[in-house]
Amino acid sequence: MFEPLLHALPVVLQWPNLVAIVVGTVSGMVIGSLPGLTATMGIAILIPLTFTMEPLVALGMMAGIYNGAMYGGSIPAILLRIPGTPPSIVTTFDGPPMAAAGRAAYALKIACWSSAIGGAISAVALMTIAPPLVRITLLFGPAEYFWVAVFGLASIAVLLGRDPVKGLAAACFGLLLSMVGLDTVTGHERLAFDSKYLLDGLNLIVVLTGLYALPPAIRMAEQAAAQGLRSAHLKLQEGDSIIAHIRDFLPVWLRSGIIGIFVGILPGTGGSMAAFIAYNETRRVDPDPDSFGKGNPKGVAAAECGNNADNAAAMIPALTLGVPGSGVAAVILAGLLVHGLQPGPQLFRENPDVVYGFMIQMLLTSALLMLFGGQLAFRVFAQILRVPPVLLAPMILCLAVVGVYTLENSIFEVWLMLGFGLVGYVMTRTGYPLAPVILGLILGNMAEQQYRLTLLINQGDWTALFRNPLSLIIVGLTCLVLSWPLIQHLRMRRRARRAA
Amino acid sequence: MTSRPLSARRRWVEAAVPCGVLLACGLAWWDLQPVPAQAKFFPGMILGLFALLSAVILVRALFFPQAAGLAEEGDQPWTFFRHVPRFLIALSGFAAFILLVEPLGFFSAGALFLVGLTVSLGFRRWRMIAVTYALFLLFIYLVFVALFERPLPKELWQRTAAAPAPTVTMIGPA
Repeated sequence: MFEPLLHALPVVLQWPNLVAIVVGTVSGMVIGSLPGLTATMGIAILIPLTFTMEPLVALGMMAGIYNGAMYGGSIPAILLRIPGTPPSIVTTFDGPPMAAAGRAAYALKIACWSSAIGGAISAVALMTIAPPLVRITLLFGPAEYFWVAVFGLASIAVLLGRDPVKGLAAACFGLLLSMVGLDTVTGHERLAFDSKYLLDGLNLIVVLTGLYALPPAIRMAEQAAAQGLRSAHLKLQEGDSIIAHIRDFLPVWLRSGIIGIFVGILPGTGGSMAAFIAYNETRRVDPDPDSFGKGNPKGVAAAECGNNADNAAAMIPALTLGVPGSGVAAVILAGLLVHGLQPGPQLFRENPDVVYGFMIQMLLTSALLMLFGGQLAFRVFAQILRVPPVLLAPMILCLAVVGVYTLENSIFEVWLMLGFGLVGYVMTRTGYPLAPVILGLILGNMAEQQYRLTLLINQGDWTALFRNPLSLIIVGLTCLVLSWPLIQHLRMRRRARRAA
Repeated sequence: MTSRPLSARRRWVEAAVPCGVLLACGLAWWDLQPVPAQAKFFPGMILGLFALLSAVILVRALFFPQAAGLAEEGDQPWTFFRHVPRFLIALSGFAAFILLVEPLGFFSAGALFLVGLTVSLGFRRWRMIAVTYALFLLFIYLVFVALFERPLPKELWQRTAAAPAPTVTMIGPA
């Protein structure tokens, strides 16, 4: 099994490949740290530039951008509460409270270590257990995918935040947003209110930037604080050592890594879902779940590890079946095709050095995060916190406009972002969680398509949704999640009675 | 941290949000009417659930606020806005920036917005404003325009310079 890897190793270690990996990783971190610029966009822009390169050099750069951007997204998520990439939304739960408590440097260090470890675990999975893992996805039919989406939404809506009813309402809002535009089956316009701009649906980045970037910037402007954080806040405090707390972090990394791999190999789910589930699971098993969302270092570790553990795993179905596990994997797949490499068993047989070399590159770029992530994050990006909030707020608003405008060159999308910013402001002030909206938007299309596909295959028989044992297991888990607040309430009442 | 019963203001805001949602659900339902049943079913189902959950939140806010766990925390009374005039300044300034970004160009409108908003919010350290925003705009230029060639709205003078010369039609014999 390791023979092809050993054969590809000397090819990967040639200097053009190493330079490509380093340049890709650093560029990826910069791209990821800028709100509005995603790994997908970075790689998409890069593809035409790689036409003249050797396939492995091009793939090395793409691997670097992929892993680098996924980590880079955590930097603004921690320092500014703006997710640099969609999966780093989860890092905004505990990262900014840690930064506010003067532990920004520690949060960045945890994010760096967790991203590197998650990426490494995922790359090892890609190298060693790819074929057996792919078999799991073959067991999933449309009904199972539908229930996976429902389970993901239910768990985030109910378990995240203080009010499950508001969480579910927020998830419904997100699902409805995902249905705006033309219906893919009938071609009819839905929830677009006759606007030609909405026919293609809502761009995730527009909604994301509006909901997440604008409300904190407006709050900053309202406060108009003229004093930035002192440099002391950017230094590691006494006791802020990962090595000293390694026993706490190891199970989080292991659990989140496994979740990330599992979610990664399911096509269409992506890093956001991996990060959400990893975070929820860590919170669920933790002895102090209430500390999550208030600056718990394990929250940052779970989110970043889960998110990066999805990276290489998303390439498993892409390389073996030609079905990408995420949007970035889809773009890398396009890069492979541009270089004349057809995914599938044929790729493994005819170009083993390229495919196994790419696996090694995914591992190497994860290791590079430790080297560059810490240095860059500490010395460059963390300086953002020293700027007074009254200066920072207009810059965030300006950056949000740049990020959204450059997506489609459309001023309408900028206005749309402002609209979502106001919605986000109202939601945060009235205690509605924002994360279920985003997850609803991500999973809405998948849920509806798989639901309709199930009915289509089974000639409208809705009992087909419950026929497969795998579906029933996921339905059971969903019911358990939905009834979890009630179970907790009953347990607390019983405890109170016993205490009395 | 102290916990106090819900104030009347919070209660009304808490009730106003689901009222708005119910209204929006009604509009969305009306928009879905011409859509065939096959395409309408899933969004209709989600709309129904959204409306039901909003009704629960509304009833809870009006009649059972304590059951909803809506007790206020902290020593300060809950307010929707932290500072109404600054909120309005920030919002109107941002809206003006979006309005001006295409007619003036990104960097001109951006510079106006950055300085204008900061000064309107009461910050007057001019040297800091100039250095920070100059570096910020330079960074935007280098990354988005120079490196990634992302098209930002062109400046007024760029458009004037790039505009084609007016065509002169010769009348009469050549």
